[in-house]
Amino acid sequence: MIDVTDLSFAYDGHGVLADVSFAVDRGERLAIVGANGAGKTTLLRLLADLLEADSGSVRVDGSVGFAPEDPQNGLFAATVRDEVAFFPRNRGLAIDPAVQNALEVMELTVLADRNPFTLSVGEQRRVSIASVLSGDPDVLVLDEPTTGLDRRGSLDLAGLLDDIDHTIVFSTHDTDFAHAIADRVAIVAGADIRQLGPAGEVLGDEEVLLENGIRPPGLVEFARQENLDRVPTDVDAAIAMLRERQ
Amino acid sequence: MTALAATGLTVTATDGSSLLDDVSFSVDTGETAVVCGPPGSGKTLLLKALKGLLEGNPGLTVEGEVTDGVDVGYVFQTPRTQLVRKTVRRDVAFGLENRGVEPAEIGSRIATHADLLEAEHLLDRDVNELSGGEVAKAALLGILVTDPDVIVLDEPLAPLDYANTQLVLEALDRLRKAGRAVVIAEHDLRDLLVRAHHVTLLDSGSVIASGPPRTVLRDLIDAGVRVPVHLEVELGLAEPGTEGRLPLGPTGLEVDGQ
Repeated sequence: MIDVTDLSFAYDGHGVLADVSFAVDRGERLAIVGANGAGKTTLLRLLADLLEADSGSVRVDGSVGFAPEDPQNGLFAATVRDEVAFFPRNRGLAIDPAVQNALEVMELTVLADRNPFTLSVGEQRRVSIASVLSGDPDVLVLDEPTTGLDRRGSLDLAGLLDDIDHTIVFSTHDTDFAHAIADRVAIVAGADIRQLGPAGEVLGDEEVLLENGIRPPGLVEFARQENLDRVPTDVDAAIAMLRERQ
Repeated sequence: MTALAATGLTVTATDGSSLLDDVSFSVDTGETAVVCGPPGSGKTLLLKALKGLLEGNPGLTVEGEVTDGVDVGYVFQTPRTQLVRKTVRRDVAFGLENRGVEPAEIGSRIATHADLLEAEHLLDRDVNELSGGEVAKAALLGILVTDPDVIVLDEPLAPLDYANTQLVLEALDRLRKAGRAVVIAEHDLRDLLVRAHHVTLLDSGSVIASGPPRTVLRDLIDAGVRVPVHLEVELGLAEPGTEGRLPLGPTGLEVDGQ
């Protein structure tokens, strides 16, 4: 679905990515993690064709929708409904089913007539993703989708994204969120992909995560603190494991 | 001693909807107060009221009292909006120049704080080419150099990686120990809970729980606030009614021998 080959990019001589290569399969969810300034956003913007690479190539088999880190950057319409209608209207697609569907998927139907600028950041985040979804892209590229969300909001968003079958590439510092929805995780460091593998494997390696400035998922930290032989799937499972041990 | 307080704060929108309802809040010098609650619960409004940013807003009616005459440094939830100059160094100098600080003193303050935040490598970068996390650090640096009496931060940790989170928390601890006060709104309390003297939980514009961390832990979890997994598990293992006496995890919820 996505083929990235020898991709390099620098801002005014400040090198960010050098000869990066990887591929993403159709329907796959890939999380990009890494320290501040490692190049996560740059990589996503290159995938979404919002930046031009210095060398190398990005090939996407289909269209890409991009939701920026600050959801306000994408907002301009007077109502949520108009905001979400922008892409289908622009592309000459039928507005009604696309908009209604995107509003429903992101649970925004009750907010449809509100001014997006009066919404909370979490709600704006959902508007931003809905306005991308309504354009019916094949690939969703989401930059830090859980910033500004609380745990419940992150879990809700994970659930909403889990219900759609798009290919999703997202950056995040929230490894609990990545753990919940990613199939694979890539660590960006030193202008390259330092590690790329199944989510459970990459996010289970505390040493490598910490080396790269990334906080391990809470349950992975907990499993180590308590010397558990496996990582519990959630807090209830963790409670059950400790009860069993007592 | 109270560093900054709001009493009976009520904020109403022009359409009559209540955004904050009779909220009282205070932070003492040398202490860290955490404000949390779901998105849209009124955290940012409370913080802005503490800084006096709601005054004169034609869309809002504000009632209640907020301490005035306090030097409050404020880091916005979208810190990119508070960077106004070309490079980080010039931006950080801006607040000090405005206060009439001598150029030599400006240079030394920037050097000291940039060193503590490990931000020297950002000083000569173009603010428009920084990543989200780097912007957050630059904005915080611009406030720290002014050495405010109270620093108010709206979700400062969300864009930061783990290493930078620890650097920022250490910087705030130093400020607090130097007799300043810290107010932070945040969703993720995994690192903050052991540092907080007081937690205020908001929902729909009202205070629904308020007190030292151990007294509000259950409310925080119920409200969807992220706390350390070990605390959540220990609370789950505790007999009902004994939560307040929990030896809460390896770090506990003690702050400076409190």
